[in-house]
Amino acid sequence: MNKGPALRPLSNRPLLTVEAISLIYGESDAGLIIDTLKQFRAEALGYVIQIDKLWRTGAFDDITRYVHSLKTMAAMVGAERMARLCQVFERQLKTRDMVEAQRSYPVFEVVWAETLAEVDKCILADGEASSDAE
Amino acid sequence: MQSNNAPVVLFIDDEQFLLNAYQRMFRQSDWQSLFCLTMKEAYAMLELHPIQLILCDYYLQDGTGAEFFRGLDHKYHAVKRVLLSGSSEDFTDELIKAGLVDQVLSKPCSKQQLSLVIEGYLASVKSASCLS
Repeated sequence: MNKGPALRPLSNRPLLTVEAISLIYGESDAGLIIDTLKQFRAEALGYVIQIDKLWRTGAFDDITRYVHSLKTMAAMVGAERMARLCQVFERQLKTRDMVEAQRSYPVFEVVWAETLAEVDKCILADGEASSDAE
Repeated sequence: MQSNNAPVVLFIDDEQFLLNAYQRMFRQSDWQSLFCLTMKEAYAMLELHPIQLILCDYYLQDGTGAEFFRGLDHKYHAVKRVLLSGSSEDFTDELIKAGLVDQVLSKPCSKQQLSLVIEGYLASVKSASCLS
């Protein structure tokens, strides 16, 4: 069975390492981490919705741009699995390796859903901690 | 803390998320940061502000960072140019040899990486202006 060699290391990568946000931004304020995750959630979700629409129309240049943007944003918040998948998916789209890209897209959907769930968990935990403090 | 004659740095990226990040990172820096999403806005900013350093993303809404730097008027020849690339394509040597950019950085960049690069270029601009 061909699982697509480029995707094999994905499971070894963490879904979300929020410490990456502190490293990138150079500060460890909890408010910064939650604000950044909220921004990521809003903007990345918009891109994923666009990719979903475009996938059905075959507008691969546009999809490539969105995947490229998602890759950087995911890396900025420590969504390592998503960032790595976007890197592989972008390369497949750029080279029009549609056999591999068709294989990657369902994985992309799953990894995005898992990443989103992790992001939401962090945001929710912060909200609960804030209401406990009040 | 910025003084009135603080150096000016322009960030260009088509991702608001990235511009917000740079804004957050450098809200308390020794230079003034300006931000824009498109080449068109960036050309206008250059006319309006004494910009000394530009950090520009490769993929923009209205072109590429390489096209942006290629389109800069000769009067901005002293402005330092850094290209921020999220791509694995290796065009670094080509762009530097062509004199289009001074440096290419791979995204995502940390505050620490960016600070070092920005401070280095601003120091070189300052020493060049002292000599002239």
